[in-house]
Formats: sequence, C-alpha cells, structure tokens
Amino acid sequence: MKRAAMTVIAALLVAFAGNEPDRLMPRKTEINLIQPAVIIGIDATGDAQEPAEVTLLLSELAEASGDQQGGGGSFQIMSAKGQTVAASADEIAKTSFKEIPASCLEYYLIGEDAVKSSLPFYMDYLSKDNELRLTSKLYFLDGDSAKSAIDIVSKEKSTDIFQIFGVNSGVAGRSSSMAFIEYLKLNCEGIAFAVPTVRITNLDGEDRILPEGYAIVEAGQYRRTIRGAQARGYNLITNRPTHSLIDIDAGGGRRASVVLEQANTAIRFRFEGERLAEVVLRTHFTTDALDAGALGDLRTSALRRETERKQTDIVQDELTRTVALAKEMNCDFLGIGQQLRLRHPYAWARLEENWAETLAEVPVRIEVSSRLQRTFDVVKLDS
Amino acid sequence: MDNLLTGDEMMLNEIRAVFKGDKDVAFHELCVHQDRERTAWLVFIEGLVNADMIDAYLLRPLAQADPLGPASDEELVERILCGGVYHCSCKAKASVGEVTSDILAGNAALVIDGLEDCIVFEVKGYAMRSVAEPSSENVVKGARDCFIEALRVNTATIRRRIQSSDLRIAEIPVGTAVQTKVAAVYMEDTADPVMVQDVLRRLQRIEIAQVKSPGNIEEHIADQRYGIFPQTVFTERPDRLCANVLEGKVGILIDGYPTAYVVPIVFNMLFHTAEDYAFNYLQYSIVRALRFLCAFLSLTLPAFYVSILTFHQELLPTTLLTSIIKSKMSVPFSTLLEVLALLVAFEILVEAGVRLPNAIGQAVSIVGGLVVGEAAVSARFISPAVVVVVAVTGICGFIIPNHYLSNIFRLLRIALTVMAGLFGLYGLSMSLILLLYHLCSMTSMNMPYMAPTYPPSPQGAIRDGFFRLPVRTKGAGDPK
Repeated sequence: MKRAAMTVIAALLVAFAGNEPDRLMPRKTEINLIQPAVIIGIDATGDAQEPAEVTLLLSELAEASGDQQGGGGSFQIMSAKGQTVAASADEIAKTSFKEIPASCLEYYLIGEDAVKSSLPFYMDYLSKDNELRLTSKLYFLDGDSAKSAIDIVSKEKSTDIFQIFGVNSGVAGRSSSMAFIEYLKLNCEGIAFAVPTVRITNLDGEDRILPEGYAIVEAGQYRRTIRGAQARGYNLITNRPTHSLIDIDAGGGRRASVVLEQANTAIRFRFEGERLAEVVLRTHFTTDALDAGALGDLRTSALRRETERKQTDIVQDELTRTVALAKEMNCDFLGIGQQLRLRHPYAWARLEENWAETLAEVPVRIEVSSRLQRTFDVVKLDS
Repeated sequence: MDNLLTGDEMMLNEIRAVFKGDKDVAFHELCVHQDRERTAWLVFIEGLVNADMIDAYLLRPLAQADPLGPASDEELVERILCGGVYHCSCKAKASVGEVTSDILAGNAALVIDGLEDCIVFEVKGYAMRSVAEPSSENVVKGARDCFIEALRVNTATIRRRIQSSDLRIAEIPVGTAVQTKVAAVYMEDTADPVMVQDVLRRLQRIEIAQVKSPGNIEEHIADQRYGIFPQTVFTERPDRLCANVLEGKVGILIDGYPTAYVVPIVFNMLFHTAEDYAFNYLQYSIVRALRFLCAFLSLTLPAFYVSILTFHQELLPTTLLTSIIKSKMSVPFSTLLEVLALLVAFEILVEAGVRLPNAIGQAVSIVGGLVVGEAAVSARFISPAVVVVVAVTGICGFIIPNHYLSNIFRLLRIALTVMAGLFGLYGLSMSLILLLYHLCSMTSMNMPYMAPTYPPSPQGAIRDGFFRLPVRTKGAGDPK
C-alpha cells in the first residue's frame, strides 16, 4: 500500500513537472530576476491603430545599502501602446530586462476615456489573466487618465499606496475600495454595481489622488458617475465605510460639522399578497461632535436632540436622492434586488425578470434615525 | 553447563583459567573456623565489592563462628546457607559459568576445600553516582530525582513510588558475550497482558553480543526497525516513568544506563513533558499547542520559504516581495542553495556546540551565529531573510521536548526543502502527505502510532493529546 502510494505521488510529481506547454506545475523563477509592478493603468488613446495604452508602475529595485535594506525606494514607470491591452502589456514585457509578474499588481486603474468608451474592451485583459491578484483594488479615474494618476504616484517616496489615496474624514465617505474579485463576480448580465472612482485634485498646489465617488456599471457597460451626497447615500445603503463629515446649518449663515462614525441600514420588504407593496430602508447612524461651536452649548439635551434632527434630515435627503437616482436610471446598483433574493427567494424568482422596472415603480420608504453620541463636553464635575 | 566435577582445586583452576591472571580478581585464601586442614578461597573482583561487608559478614564468621566448627562437607554448606554466615543473599552454585558471571557482577564466590558446590554471596559495593536532579528534563515544579546507572537502585526508586503488589519487575539478561540486565516494569492489573508478553518476548529475542548503548535495546524492540521516528519515549525521571506504568504502559530499564524507555507510545507523547501536569491546564494546553505549531514550523518553514520565493512569489504582498528582492539583489546563489547552505551551517554549529565544553561551546555559538552570520550577510553570500528563516526554524526545533524527534525533524526539514526547491508548494505538500501517510501507518507495540488522531478520537485528542483538560476529567490524573 505504502509503495503504491509513493509510486503514484512520484508519478504525479514527474508528470506535473513536464515540459513547458504541458506542465501543471508552477514555473520556477528566481526571485531576484523579477521586478514587481505595483499599479497597472489602462487608458484609451483615441488612436484607431493603437487604441490601448498600458502603464505600469514598477518598484525601483536599486540595490539597498547598509541598514536601508528592504526599505521603500522610488518607482519606475513603463508604458506602451498597442492594438489591444494584451499587446501593450506584451510590448512592455519585451522591453524589460527582468520578468514582470502580473501576480504582484496591487492596483488596477482604468482611465476615464477607457471607462466611458468601451469598458469590456479594456477590462477583458484583466478579467481573463488567471495570474492576476484577485484581492487587488480596482479604481476608475474620474476626469483623467490612469497614466496621469500613475505619474503622481511615482513621485511618492513610499510604497504604501493607501496613504496616497487619502484616508481622512473629509473624503473617505465618498467612496470605498473594491477588490477586483468583486468586479468579476458582479460583472454579469442584469447586474448593476458601483466601482469606486478617484480623481486628481490639486491641494495646496500639490496634485493628489483622492476618492471621488462611484461609477455605475451595468452589464459591463458604464452608465454614469455618482459623487458627493449620492455617493455617501450609496455607502450608507450598502453598509460600506462611512466615516465622513456632515455639515449642519447652524443658522445665521454659520456652519457646524459632526463626524458620521457608524451606520447600519436594513432593507425590508412588505408584500400585499404576492405583490411587492413597499421597500423599507431603515438607517441608523451615530455621530460625534467635531466643530460644533456654532450650534451652541451641546450640554443641553434639547440642543442635542435638535442637532440629531438636523443631521437625520440631511442623511434622509441624501438617501432619498440616491434611491431616486436608482429609480430614474432603472438600475438597481444599490443591491436591493440581492437583498430580496436572500430574504424572499420565491418572490425574487417571480420578480427577477423585470426587477429594474419593478424597483422603479415600487414605493421606497426611508426611515432614518441618528444619535449624537459624543459631544466631548464635561457635563458635570465629579467634586 | 560446566559441572564441577571434583573438589576445589579443579574449581579454582577453572575460575583462574577464565580470568587469565587478571590483576583485579582477588583469590583470598582462608581457613574455615581456623582449621588449617580446611582451606577455602574467596574469589571476587576488587572495586566491585564492598570490602567492609566481606570483612564483617564473610571473613569473620568463616574464621570465628562456632556453628562452622567441625562438620562434614555437606553439613558445612548447609550451615553456611542456613545462616552460619549471616548474609542476606547467598546461593550454592555448581556451574563455573554461573559463578564467573556472578563474580563479574560484583559478587564474591566461596570455594571450599573438598566441596563441589561453590557459594556465592552478594556483596556488591562499587562506586555509583548518587541520585541527583535530571539534567535533560528539568522542571520548576515536580520531583527532582532521576535514574542512575545502577539498575537495582532504579527499580527500588520505582518500588518506592508505586507501592502496589501489582507492580511487576521482570528481569531479562541481554547479550550473548556480555550480559546486561534489562528490567521490564509494568502493572499486572492495568497493562494489556498480550502487550506485556510481546515486550518480554522481544527483549528475550534480542541477539546481540553486548549492550553497547541503550539504543541497541530500543532498536530491537521497535516495530519498524528502519523507521525514522522514535518508537519509544525515553526519560530519566522516575515520576514520568511511574505515571506511564500506572497508565498501563511498560517501562524498560537497562543496567548501567540512567535512562528508562516507555512502550508503547503515540506520536503526541513526544510533545509532552513531566511539567505539563504541574501547572494550570489552560496554560499548558496553550504551551502544548505552541509546541505542535513550532514543530510544524521547524519542519516546513525553510521549505515554505524556498517554494514561495522560487515558485509562488504572488503569495507575498508586493511590499514584502520588493523588500526581499532588494535584500537578495547581489546574492549570487539560488534561494534553494542559500537555504540549504545555511541549514547545513546551522547543523554544524549545533553539533560543534554540543560536543565542546560549555565555555567553548558558547564561544562557537557567538562566533558562528553572530560574527560569521553577520559577515556572510554583509559580504552578500546570503540574504538577511534567509538568516531570519533559518534562525526561527532552529529555535522552533529546540522547543520540541523530545531530543530524538527534534533530530529527526532536523533531517526531514532538509529533505522537504529540497522537494520544495524542485517542485514548489506541490512538492512540499506531496512530501507532507507522504510523511503523514508514513506516520499513520506506524505502530508502537502493535498500537496505532498516531492515536488519537488516527484512528480518530477527537475526545482523546482534546482530553490529553494536543491539549490537556483539567485532571478531574481525565480518569487517571497523573503525569504522563
């Protein structure tokens, strides 16, 4: 028995380590012969001969010295145009001294022109390459090319790209990240979804890449981009990270800010017989006072209730506008249909075929509640 | 059997012929009851006997005791055996072979003029090590005695701990040229009689000239003589041996060696220590789990590193990948060669440290580990990441309590690294499957070696396998 098992395993080892075209084994590559690429950018050139342009941001592998071994270092950019994205990528591979493994890519950036002209043409290369890392982040550029964004990133000293995309209370609520595998899962017939977009923004004379909103994609085609309040509405309804500022009118032309900390939205469905009578969105969120001096003395409970009412109204408005947009577009990018499928599979089976039209017609009731949980005020001294 | 045919002269000549004039063999001539007509010879090996006992309990009564006065030959022997010479252990022997064996074992033989039988007195009195603290199984909380080289002292230690009439100590002489006593210790009411008989039969069947090392016995009683994994647990702690004996296992003691073996064993026993039961169950459950984790790491970490860096770079985060590439930029060797070289260097350092005296051993560790390692990294012979991997592997290996298993893992990790270097994670996983298959097919005294993992018994694995539940739920609540 043992001899038979060993024979089988030895045979498998030999078979799988066979010649190049037939081998199932992974290919052997010494690690110092590869140059990892961090970001791939795909753009539309507008040229009929070479419509696709691929830009790679590669880690600069200048030899580390002394105690700086393994440190950050800067980046190197390689770019090529071609008839297809694959041809452009192949062109880069040919001109590189080292092997560039696609499996090390951490970010996929798609330029605005590519997104708006023909998304499947430019995304197909990424979708079909089985070596690509599925957990890498996908972003669409809003208003710029991927190459421009990569140029900005290349000027950074650090390889920590997350910092470059800016995580602060002012912008994070606008869009969150999306793993490439989510795109692959959602990119199918009849499904609408949102891909995070980033935008090149000039802050104090310096170009930065900041989250902007979402690009709505349906059946592989770009529909439109949502920004600002609608983007936050999308985050709230889909329970994505929402840490962001809410500006409140304090009266007399003065503004105050609270930070939206946590939120949760439950989607429920009310049926009358077999007919879907109503969709109910129940959202509850909490905030912390940030710059609330203009509101007055938050130690008084009456003012706190008033502030909570104001912030609830603001978010209610954002959610209403977001739902209205989905109805207007006849496009369920909010994932309400998916919730119906999970909670009422038999109803979903009936409604699936004309779901977009059903959603456009069915009333959506939005119930929002909130709590101002921290004012950072001392209410009562101990002694 | 060599019978004593006639009288003392022939007997003496034959004993002298056996020892061929060895200077440490004493032939002490004396007159029984001061009668010059009745001479006798006391034969013993100097250094192996207690001189005071010979003087007080043999020579004085033989020369002065009234009961040994005028008597016939048969009466004289009868009187000696019945207390005329007041010694607790005396036997009449009629064979030269038996007599010489007894003399070699530290007894004294009395050859009396005109008698065919020889009387052997047990007067062992050689220098022996006192019972001290165990050197390789130290504990903070627990007994601090250990076995010594004298078998009888060791069996007495066990008797003292297990004061039960069910305790059996069977002694089997092993060796065709030089015989060594081997004792099998077991509880008659607890141990499986078939297993006990199997152990005794295996001990009796050992056909070697002499026991040169405890390993000789271990090899001969193992189920798989060519198996690489330990099939016995050795211990120098009486409390650990007794705990196992009380659980129904058989302890094996060898005269002249301060270690005892326990059979049968299961694989996870190799990760247990005597101290596991001395402290809180939760604490030592975690420690046990940590030992298993470290053993796995010590076996697979270099192989995993080689396979990732040679075949599966995509599994590394890009930042880490870039960092490793940078540190390996000027290293001229492949990852496999680099890791193998460092693993071998590590083994050399360990061996050098073990064989040398403590003070020099520490110096070798410092020079080898720190100075040479640092110089090798600076000179770009090896990359820093490999040093970290091999160092972590080495430290994890030292956490395995069983020295034998630790050594086997040292060999296996090199084999796995080669497989990983040739076939990547596929080779590594296939090798591990083969290893697991081998382990699951092993037995110890016909008991499954991987129990309670295979055949599966989740309750057993949790109760006292990978973890340790509180003693009250365990049935026999003793250390193992």
